[in-house]
Amino acid sequence: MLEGKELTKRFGGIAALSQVSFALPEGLIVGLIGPNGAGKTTLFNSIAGAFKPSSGQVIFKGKEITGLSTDRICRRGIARTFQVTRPFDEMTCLENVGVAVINRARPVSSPWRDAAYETLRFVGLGNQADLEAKRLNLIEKKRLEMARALATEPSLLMLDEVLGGLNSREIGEAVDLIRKLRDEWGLTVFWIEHVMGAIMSTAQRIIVLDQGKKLMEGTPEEVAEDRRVIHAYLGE
Amino acid sequence: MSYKRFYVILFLASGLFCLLPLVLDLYRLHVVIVSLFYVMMAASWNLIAGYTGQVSFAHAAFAGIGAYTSGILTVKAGMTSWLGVATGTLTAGVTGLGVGFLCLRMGGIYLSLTTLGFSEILRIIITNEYDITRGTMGLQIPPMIAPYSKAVHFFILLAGTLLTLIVVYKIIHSNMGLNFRAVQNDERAARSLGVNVIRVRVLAFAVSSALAGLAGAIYGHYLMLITPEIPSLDLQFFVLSMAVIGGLGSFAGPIIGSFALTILSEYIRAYGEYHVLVFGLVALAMARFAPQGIMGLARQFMPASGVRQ
Amino acid sequence: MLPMALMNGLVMGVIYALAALGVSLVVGIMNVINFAHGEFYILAGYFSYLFADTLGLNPILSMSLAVGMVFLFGIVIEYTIIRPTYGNHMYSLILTFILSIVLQNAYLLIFGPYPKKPPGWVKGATNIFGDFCYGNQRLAALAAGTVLIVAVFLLIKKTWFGRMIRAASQDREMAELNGVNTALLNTFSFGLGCALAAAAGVVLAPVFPVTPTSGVPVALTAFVVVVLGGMGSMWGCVIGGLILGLVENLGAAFISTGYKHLFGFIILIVVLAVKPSGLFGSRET
Repeated sequence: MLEGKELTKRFGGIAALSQVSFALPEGLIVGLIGPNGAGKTTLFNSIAGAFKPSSGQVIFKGKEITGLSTDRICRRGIARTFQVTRPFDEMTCLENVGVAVINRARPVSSPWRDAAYETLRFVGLGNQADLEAKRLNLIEKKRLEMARALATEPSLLMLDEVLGGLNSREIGEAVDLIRKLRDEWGLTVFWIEHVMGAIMSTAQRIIVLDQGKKLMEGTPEEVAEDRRVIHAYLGE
Repeated sequence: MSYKRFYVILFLASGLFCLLPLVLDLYRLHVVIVSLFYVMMAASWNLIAGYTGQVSFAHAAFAGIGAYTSGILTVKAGMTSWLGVATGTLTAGVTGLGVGFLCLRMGGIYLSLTTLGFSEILRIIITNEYDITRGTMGLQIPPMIAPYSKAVHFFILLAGTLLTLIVVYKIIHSNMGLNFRAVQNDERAARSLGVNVIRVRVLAFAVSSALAGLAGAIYGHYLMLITPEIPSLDLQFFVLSMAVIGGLGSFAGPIIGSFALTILSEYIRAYGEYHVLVFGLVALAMARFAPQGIMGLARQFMPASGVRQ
Repeated sequence: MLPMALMNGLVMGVIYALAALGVSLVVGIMNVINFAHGEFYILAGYFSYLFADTLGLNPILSMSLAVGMVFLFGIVIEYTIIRPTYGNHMYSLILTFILSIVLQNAYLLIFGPYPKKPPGWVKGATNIFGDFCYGNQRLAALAAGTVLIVAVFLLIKKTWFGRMIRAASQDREMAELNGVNTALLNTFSFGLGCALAAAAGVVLAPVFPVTPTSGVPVALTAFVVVVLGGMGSMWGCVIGGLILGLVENLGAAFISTGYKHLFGFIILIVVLAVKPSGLFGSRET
């Protein structure tokens, strides 16, 4: 599905990401974990086209997408959410999702409002459709972010810390939603998360980054028992 | 505001305007015509500045391109005024497309820098090519419809204003308009949802420049004398002030701003040439303390009256 | 004709470089283009005229006072007008543009439309290369401009203040985390940017007298220099400034005087089409 080959990203002289290679199998939830500053969001940005990797390749569905513009990558079928939500504040929730609908690679025949409303209902924001996005609370903003990403009709969804700041009930709901995306929508999910319990119990594979390098990759069980991982999280 | 309501208000208002030539003397009619020109300018400038957040300083320059293209073609090539206006509009649009394509890859600041340089260069060319443009003396051109009548030209400018307002309204309520607002709200988020930000910006810039060309061309034929005053930074400043004082990003703001400032400037003019300074100070204060302009203040103080975007 | 054009090109090039350094400094740190840059340049010319001609002060003292006053004025402007627009590009562009028109008209009201010229520092002309005479005042302007540019480079590259500026222009958040007071730094660098415009103004005013709008072409050229050199690059400003100065003056001498400023704009178009990040630009967008 998605493959990264020796991805490196340097800022000035510092390598935020060095020689990271990975492959995501289709239809799985793959977790991306690592301590703060490990390069997780940098990896996401390199894949989604927010900036061009200094070297290495990104291959999606058999085609190279390295360095393509963000909007083209989105049309190829990769959607993402941002760690700090970025709603269009002055626009209604419906319009927020509508932007994603009208820019799909395959244009919709029905009015965009219908498709946008459906997606809002799916994430549980049906009642807030006509509310300006700046009036939403944190959890609603996260849902809106998710709705917008889904409305682009992706085949790969990249989630950047969607559980931060949620209570345990809300985390449960969000995890159910993500599972549903995999099982019913057939999406592949690439997921950065700090809430360990949730990601360990949901993801089928975990990739661990530390200081810009890939530390290891494996099932949640293998990762949980790995001494390098424990060391990386607990420090020297 | 629904489509239907918009058209009802628009046609009622223009119906009222149609009565003006009957009740106003020629001087007052002139002031209204100048206001209409500024409505066309400010409303189309609002399309890029207010709805996509890019500041072009070449809006007056594009009006100048429209005016000089049409003027030169009618005088030197014997073209009819109507065809001249159409060519002028097109030329402004195509130039806008080129300038936009050149600098919008690099982001908004480059557009502001380049358009500022562009308007200065256009002024230099017009001033220097005396044989074609008559430089600062101005080029005498025929009216839209001869023999000249102020009332007839009032109706032509009114039609141009209606056309501009309808185009702007249609665009901001289309899918493209949704993209405009997304780009203005958060460029990065818009990109991540598949919005081709550069194309959106270039398109907005080209359409807005074409509308400026239309305004300039018609206005030139009304004045029957085109000078480098049209593509000047002073005129650019008036348009910008009107949009800012009326309210950027709101449909009615630039319309209100244009009428208010044109009429105001006629009063201030009586006390000497201080109107630019006065406008500047007012615009500065508005942009600093009430960035949403008169419309923003109206929404703030009369939330119940239904004043909306 | 050629040596004359070359010398004029060098003098103007140094002035453009100085003005562009001010623009570049503010862009690099605050990501704000100050469209009133040319009006600060003119203001310094008027101040030095007032102090030297009207009050009869020593020219050097008047120039220093003028630069100091413009620096303070810049700080006041940043604090009252620019600061509230942080994070909103559009309003900083609009506000500084309005400011430039307001200042032009205020100058017209206060100083009138006629050129004002502060006294020169030196008299006479010098024979250069044995074949033509060049005004001493222009040579002095060239020397003074060069000294000022070197001083700016030393300030930015060698001092503690310069380190903070470079840190902030590379990564604001990081600088903030490391305890740099970026609000204060913004105010100060905006003032410094204005002071650089002022320095260019006082150096050039005895050669080219100031009028309310004579700052416009200088500021426009400074903007072209910043794009040509690459946003935020100091060497870009110096090299770009010299290129612009030489191209304009050679073009004026051999092609057309009326189109002097057109050549700069053609350069801008070529840069945007071929290498939009500029000669020394590295910043990704």
